[in-house]
Amino acid sequence: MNYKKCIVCDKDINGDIIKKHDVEFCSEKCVQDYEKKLKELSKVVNWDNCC
Amino acid sequence: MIQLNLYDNSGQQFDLSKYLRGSKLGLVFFRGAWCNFCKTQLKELQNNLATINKTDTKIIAVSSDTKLNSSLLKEFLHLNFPVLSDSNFEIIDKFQLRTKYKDKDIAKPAVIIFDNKGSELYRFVGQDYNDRLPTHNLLKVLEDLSYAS
Repeated sequence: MNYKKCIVCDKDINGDIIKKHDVEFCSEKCVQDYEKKLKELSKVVNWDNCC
Repeated sequence: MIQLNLYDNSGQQFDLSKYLRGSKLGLVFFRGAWCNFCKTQLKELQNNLATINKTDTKIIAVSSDTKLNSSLLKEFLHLNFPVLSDSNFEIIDKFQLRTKYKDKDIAKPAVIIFDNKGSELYRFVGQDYNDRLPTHNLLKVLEDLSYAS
């Protein structure tokens, strides 16, 4: 069986799937982790750590 | 129809035919969410998406980033086209676009355009971070391809 994977923890989602942000999560905790990462991105002033 | 083993950021097979619905495909390879030049390019593509779509072309961006970082980047930059992960380099290697940056394997910045039958119409492969197809040139290529078809 092809289980869906949680975008944050990469575990197979065996229970209820939480669909938010165009992706799928296994728990509210993972949703919060995702939203935290998204907020952190907004705080990154210097994106120039490359090249 | 072009056959590409693409997966969405939930790990499910990406339904290319459903996404394209007979349109051309513009496959945009970028180095990663950490690359400022790539982000600028992706934002420019978003800003010109209506014009691109008018040439009957749909965009998909691909990098070796994780699914999580691909998804975060898409949302952070408000991109209305798929940003997919190819962290196992299946697609990147298919088009021989793998390169190294600071000992890390990444994709070269590249754009490949396919018609709705899967034939390759155009390819640009940049050799470095600042060697990439300018968006205005991409628009010209797409316009020319539209006239040709």
